[in-house]
Amino acid sequence: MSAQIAFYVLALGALVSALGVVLVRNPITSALNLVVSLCFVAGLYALLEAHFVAAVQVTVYAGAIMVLFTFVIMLLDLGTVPARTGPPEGIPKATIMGALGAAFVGLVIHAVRGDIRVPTTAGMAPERVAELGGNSRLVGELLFGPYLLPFEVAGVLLLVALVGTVVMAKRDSVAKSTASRRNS
Amino acid sequence: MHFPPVQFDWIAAVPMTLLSVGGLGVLLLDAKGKGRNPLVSAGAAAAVLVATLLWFVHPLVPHATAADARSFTSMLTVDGLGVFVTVVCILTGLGTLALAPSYMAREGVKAGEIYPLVVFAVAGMSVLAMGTDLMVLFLGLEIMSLAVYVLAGYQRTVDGSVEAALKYFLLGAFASAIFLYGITFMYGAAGSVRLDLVARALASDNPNTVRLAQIGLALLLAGLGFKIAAVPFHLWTPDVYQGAPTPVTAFMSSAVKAAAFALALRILRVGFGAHPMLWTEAVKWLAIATMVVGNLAALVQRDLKRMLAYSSIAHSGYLLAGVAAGHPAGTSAVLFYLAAYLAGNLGAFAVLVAIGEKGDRNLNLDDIAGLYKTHPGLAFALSACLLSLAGIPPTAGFFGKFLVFNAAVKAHMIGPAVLIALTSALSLGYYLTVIVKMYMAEPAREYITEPPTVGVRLVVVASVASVFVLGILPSLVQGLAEQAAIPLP
Repeated sequence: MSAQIAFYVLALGALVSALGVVLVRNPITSALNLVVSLCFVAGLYALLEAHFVAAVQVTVYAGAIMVLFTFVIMLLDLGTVPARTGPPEGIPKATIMGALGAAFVGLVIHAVRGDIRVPTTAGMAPERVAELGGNSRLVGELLFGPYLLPFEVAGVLLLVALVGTVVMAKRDSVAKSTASRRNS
Repeated sequence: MHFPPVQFDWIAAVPMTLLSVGGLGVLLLDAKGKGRNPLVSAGAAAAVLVATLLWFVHPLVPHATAADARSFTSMLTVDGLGVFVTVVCILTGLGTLALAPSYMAREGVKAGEIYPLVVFAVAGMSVLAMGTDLMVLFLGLEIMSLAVYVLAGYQRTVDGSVEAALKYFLLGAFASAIFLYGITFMYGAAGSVRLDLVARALASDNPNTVRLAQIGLALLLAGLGFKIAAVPFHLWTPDVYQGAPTPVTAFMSSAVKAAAFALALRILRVGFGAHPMLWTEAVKWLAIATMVVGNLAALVQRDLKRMLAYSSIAHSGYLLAGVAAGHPAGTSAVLFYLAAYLAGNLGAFAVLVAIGEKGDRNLNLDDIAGLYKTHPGLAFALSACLLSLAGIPPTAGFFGKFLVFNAAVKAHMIGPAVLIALTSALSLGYYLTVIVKMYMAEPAREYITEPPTVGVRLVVVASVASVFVLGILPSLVQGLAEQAAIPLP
């Protein structure tokens, strides 16, 4: 019962702060809302007894990545989005999109209504996890055991992302330096 | 260690290891030379691709039969489909590497990183073609996509290229997210993201599982539809294909399409092979919409790159009809079609690289008027490739369309079969316009184009040769395609 209450509190918190991310006008406030939302999701992971994932969620997502986010926002100095005046545009489009989204949510609710039993092949009971040496140990063994291939492939993915970023950024600086030379 | 020791079969991981380590090597080589010598980088990248190609014909490698298929903890498998599509992607990559140096030199772009990125993209494609686990497949999809986003925006100073990259990146990231969301539904339905276990969970016919898997499949199809530019997920295609550097457009339209179709075949055949009623109708209607819209929109284009973009959408439609037609005739038809499309498409883009001028001017319908008088060889090559794309015998495209048509008729899909024939006739409208312009019209202006480089010549000659070889002796590749299709359930 207490677990259920905790779930609803955490889920509500995650949803409300997520709404804050899209509704708030100031980008920094928006980013901070995202931090709160990510922390609530970390709480949900902890509730599922996935303590390692919860800790990673806080340190990596709510911590490192969000620091980068706020850094970039502050560097770009975006300011606050001005309040909308006059009638909003694109109402028909937004209505269609909203209706489609609502239809999809309805479809999902239709699919998960009633008795959903996640197949037993998925995951392990918390007691079994504790018996095998706890969360982080199991994650490590899985990562370098059965999931070695995706782990290594993810490394290649990050490398490609890094190379791609450098390529795009480098071209930009070349273009800028020629442009500034032309200006001076 | 609490887990039973995992049996790794490293052989399955060799192609992607070769490609990614090789890509890293090319990157370092290019950095060492400070990008001053693009031909060395291009050569090294080509060597990596050729080495991977040679590995496939090595006797150590199992041949494309079910019994020999090797797997890496059931996440990667070297089977016929994987090898066939990887080879198609490697050949496209080689073509791109041959076209890129002269194009980039003409556009005045220092193009060091384009070569390792092509190799990395092919590495991602090999994972896509051989993966049997949705997690691995998603990683392969992202490796390929990230590399191609950057390649599309490589001309950072050209507005069209930047627009292309940004559009492709934003929409592509969205499509990937939708695909990933679909994977989560699969996990919810089956308790695993391994396609064989998904199939096993579906076999229980538990209504909950089937309902969840249905939503998951719809999302996966939407993500896939974006990558293969199927209508209604095609809106990015013309702008991106037009804005990207021409060799990259050739790469995107042939190799990305081939890899995405391998992914579609793998998911639909291995995961949902026993439940065709869940997806056949959807894929059929996607095919119909894609064939009709792609061909109609291509008719009104004046820019050749844009025309080929819409033609690429139309070809996705024919391929989707083959996917919907089912197994094994449809699957082998799709594989043959991919090879045939590669030959015609790569050749057409190679000619565009050869006749284009800086900034991709000179690629309008009026600009190529009378090309026959000034460049008879290029005019002939472009005609052969376009006739193949249109599906005129004795070219490769004819047999591709014939096989897909045949498979559709066998599967009693009369509507799509009739549309394949009708829209192919329609497509003659725009393909023949180009040919008529080249041969019948007077040259509108002087061509100042430099003679094509050796790389471009090689690609043009190889493409035209394959167009005719595949058209006259289709059994050469058709046998391989059939063999490759059989191990899939």
